[in-house]
Amino acid sequence: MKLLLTLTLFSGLALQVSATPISFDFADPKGVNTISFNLDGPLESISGTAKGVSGRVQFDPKAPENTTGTIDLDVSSLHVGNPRMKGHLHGPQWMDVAKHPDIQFKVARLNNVETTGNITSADIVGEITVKGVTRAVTAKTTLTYLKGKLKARMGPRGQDGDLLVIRTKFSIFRNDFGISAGQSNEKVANEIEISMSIAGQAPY
Amino acid sequence: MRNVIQKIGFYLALAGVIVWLIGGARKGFYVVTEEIPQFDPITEIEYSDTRSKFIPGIEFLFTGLIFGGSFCLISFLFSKPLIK
Repeated sequence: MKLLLTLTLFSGLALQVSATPISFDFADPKGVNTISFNLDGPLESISGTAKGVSGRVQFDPKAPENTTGTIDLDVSSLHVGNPRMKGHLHGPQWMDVAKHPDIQFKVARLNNVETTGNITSADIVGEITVKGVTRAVTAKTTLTYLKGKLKARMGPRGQDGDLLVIRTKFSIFRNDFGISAGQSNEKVANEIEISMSIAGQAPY
Repeated sequence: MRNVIQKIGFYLALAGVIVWLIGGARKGFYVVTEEIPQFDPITEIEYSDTRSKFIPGIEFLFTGLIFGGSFCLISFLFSKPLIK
């Protein structure tokens, strides 16, 4: 009996130690996931949004520092209100959607992790690839783990599951990614401020 | 004739200013969509939905003022009205 109890305890412990991270899918059927960008230029501030978010993030609530994954953005979903500007943005001189249809953000790990309740604050360390150019990125981020909240979000016909909300803000420079590098600086800012609030779902 | 052209110029400039002000005095160029703020109560994400709406930009103000100014300048090519 003692042996059985010990074995049960050890197997339970082993299960906890080797707990696999939860894989969250960021293709949001509710259309909430939005990445917004702002270029505060000398002539005009250009703001826009992008909704074509997809990708997967592996998150372990017991070891958030091991978070990895990839967030993809469909470049054709980049939107600004002025149709002429949007045409330029998608065109070969700027984002060149035809040749570079995706922007990819790879999460390598989290540093300086602090968890309070279901909210984890950390520095997200990864790489961003824009127009085929990859650069390292570190950004302050918060991850909110919402256990069992998927059904509440998706309605009565939705599946049971968990949600993970990632919020981050960081800047990149268009000159670093060959986005009309060194050109039109008097009209369009070099710094691109990116703000991301996205939710991923993990059905049971 | 001069007075008529000056009046046309004035009304063109005024129209540019009024259209721009009614449209929300936007400092950037015109847009054809508007972002409506939304809130997802479960994830507490603030996001926006895009809907079609024409909002005139600063080019409407400038176009009105330039056309208005041009009409006023052109009016000086015509002789002054005779004072009876």
